[in-house]
Amino acid sequence: MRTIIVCMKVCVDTNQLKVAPGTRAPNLEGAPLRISTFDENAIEEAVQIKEKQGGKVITITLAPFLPPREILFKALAMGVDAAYIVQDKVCSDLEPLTTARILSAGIRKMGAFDLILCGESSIDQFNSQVGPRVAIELGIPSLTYVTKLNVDLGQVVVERALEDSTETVEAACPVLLTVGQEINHPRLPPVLQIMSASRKPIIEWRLQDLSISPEEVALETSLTRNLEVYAPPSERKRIIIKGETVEETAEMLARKLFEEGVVKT
Amino acid sequence: MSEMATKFGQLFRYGFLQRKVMARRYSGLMHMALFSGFVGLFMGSVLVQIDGYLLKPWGLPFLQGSVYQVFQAILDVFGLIFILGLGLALYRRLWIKPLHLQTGPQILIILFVFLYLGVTGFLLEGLRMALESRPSEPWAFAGYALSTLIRRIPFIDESGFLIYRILWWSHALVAFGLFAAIPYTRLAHMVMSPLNTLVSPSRPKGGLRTPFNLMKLIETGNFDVKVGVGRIEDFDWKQRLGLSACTNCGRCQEVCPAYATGTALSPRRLVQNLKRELDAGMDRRRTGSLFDGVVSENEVWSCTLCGACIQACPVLIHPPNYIIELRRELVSQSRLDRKKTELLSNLSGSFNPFGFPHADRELFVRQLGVPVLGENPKVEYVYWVGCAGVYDPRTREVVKAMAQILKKAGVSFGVLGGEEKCVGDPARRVGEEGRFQELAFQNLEALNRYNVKKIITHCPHCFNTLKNEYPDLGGQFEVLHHSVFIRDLIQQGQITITGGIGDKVTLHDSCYIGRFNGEYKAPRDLLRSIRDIKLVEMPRTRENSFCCGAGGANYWYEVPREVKISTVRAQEAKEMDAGLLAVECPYCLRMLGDAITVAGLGDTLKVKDLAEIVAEVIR
Repeated sequence: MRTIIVCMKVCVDTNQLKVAPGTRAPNLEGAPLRISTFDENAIEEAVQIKEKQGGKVITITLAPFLPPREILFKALAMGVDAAYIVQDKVCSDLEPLTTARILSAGIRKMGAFDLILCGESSIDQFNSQVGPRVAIELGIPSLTYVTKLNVDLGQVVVERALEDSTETVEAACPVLLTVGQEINHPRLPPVLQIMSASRKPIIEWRLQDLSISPEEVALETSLTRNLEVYAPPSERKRIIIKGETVEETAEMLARKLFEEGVVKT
Repeated sequence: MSEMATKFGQLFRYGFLQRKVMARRYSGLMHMALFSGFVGLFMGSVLVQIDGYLLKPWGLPFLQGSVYQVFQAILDVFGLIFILGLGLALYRRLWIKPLHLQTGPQILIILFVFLYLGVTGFLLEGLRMALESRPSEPWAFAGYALSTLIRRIPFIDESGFLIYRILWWSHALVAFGLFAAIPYTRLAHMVMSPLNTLVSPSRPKGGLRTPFNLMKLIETGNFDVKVGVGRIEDFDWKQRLGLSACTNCGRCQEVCPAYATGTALSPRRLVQNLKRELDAGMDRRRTGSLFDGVVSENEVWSCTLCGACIQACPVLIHPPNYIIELRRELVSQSRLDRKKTELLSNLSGSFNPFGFPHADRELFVRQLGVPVLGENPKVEYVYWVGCAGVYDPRTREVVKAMAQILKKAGVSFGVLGGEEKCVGDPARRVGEEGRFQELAFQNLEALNRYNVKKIITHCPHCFNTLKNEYPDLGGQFEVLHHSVFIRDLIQQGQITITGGIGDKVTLHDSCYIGRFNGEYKAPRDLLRSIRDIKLVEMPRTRENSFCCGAGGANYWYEVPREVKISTVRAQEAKEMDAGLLAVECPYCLRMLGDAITVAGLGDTLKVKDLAEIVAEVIR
């Protein structure tokens, strides 16, 4: 195994988002940032492969400004060897097509690789497109929703989670895979290790380093546009469930959950 | 200088007087007999040698005349005590066979060898008297009695001297053999255990050791600090001495809640395994990872850090010290499951272990209508609300009760609101020292900015961390647990008890208020000052209190077990036939409250915090 590239998005921590009272739009000002959750699974998977088979793990991130250092250090502390940031202020709210184009240019600049790992989608936009689009740009196969991965001698064998079944697929490297939470449990490096990861390289690229001009990717040129983002109002049902005994109450609650379709047998 | 005095005081109290050994009646008496008999006989033999080989040639022997008679009598007493001790020991191991006591060939051989020495000692004394008749021997009453019997043996006049010589030499050789065996057998405890009482704290210590200072590391930019212990040689000398001092007595296991509920942990087994590894390492340079066959991860995570084992250990070993270092090692290798990772992520991201929004802290205190330090910086006390106080609905009732009491008493207090973050106790106890210190330094910045001097808290974990662990990082405060504070308010007449409870009440002593910080009186004074109350004590009370199971960050994750610790404790409370179980901690409140509800006892046994109990009966 020589090189594994992980596409890593740094975005707002959607768990900590507050909603503006009137418009119900998310208050992005000063919202804390984090590595997109499934990208952490991708990093963890890449690092586990490196630990077993050797090689290098590099991340590539597209951002309008340099992400906070602690966030990059966290990825480096997990086992990433170098973090590449393609940074330009126009790189904000880009559509997946454009994002994929820029990331692919960056990946081409990095040289040979065996594997690209991505999160199945980002936790802010949830488009699920960037991974497969990058694969198309680079002319390599993409396997999405991978729940189990086996890499050996230039071949991958994966299990993909389909709605009602699991598919086992084989492909030859180089190949792009997208993963979700099922594939692994991303490690949490202790604070000391995150701080000492500051010694690992963080390389910044501008768009012109990839021979892309900012005008090419400006929002005006995109084929899609986000019109509005808001949190739909949710009314609580306020149903009280109380039985004679704890067991009875639990039964009633379980029945209600099945009725509502919240829990499936 | 006074430190030296304390240390030697410990050696005297625990090594010589054997105070903690005596905490159990049978084994205490047995060991005191063995110990005093052995020491007495040994010193006697030494005196005989000194007298015979050093003093006599100079014409200054003192073991003669009446001195010698008293000397012989005393030694006879010691000899009998010694044999009594051996008898008690053998009876215990061969007939009573307590479950926690492991009896193998080594201990039996040692006991029988000692018995041989004890018995031959008397035989030699009696034989000598029978053969050599000197005046006034009756002082040595045991030897004298024996000698009268021996004189009756028909062949004693011919073979007596030969038998004496054989017995004397075998006695000497066996005794020396035993001494040579000391370092290689459990007899090493005769040296190691007293040494440990010299250096080890005699009580459970609330504050854990601080392995580094995050602020200082940030200043230097060098984060290459070794935290935690993964190999036996990484334990420092005090820790290694502690391991060597273990006599495998099993008392720690007897009191351990994790062991009692079928988890992977037995503190005795843990210490013994580490000790074995230490001994093996001294010979063989074994430097493997401890997690490769010496200790298991589940073992290490099962500990609730309740300190019962520290309380029980007669030779002052602190098993949790080893467990914390092993946890720190697992953390540094990122060997944490989902729940522990979530716990730490929540602490880093939301500053509370629940993962709820940090903004809720400010919202809650505003709703509560209590003074916030940001607007009232000159208050006398800071009421530290803690995380459960904000995010756990049940504990919010405790906070409301506290606010009520403080207002009625006219106390000058304020809360930090949004400027308060988790004290960091769960992070530290799980072994992530870095995240603990991140939170601690943020809290210290706020506390020092407001020049806070006094803090009141209802949570023993916040109490313990603020009082015993923050000073290491730069914050010294007078920290009061609410049991003490409210008790003082009552006694000083700042609040008046007008109502009663009319029921039996039993108190569950929290580990961090009782064992670790020595406070048993205040909650009891508080309860007794309420009318119409009958305070009953559970069998495992005060320093023997049985943990609720939440400690050591166990509230935030699961380990494989047979039964819940809280269920066991709830059962004990139920058997008191009380209508009210009083607690002094939000963790205990949740754990025991839930256990009682699940057991279907919620109607007959109520669980309430001390603040709630008081708030209901004051004017």
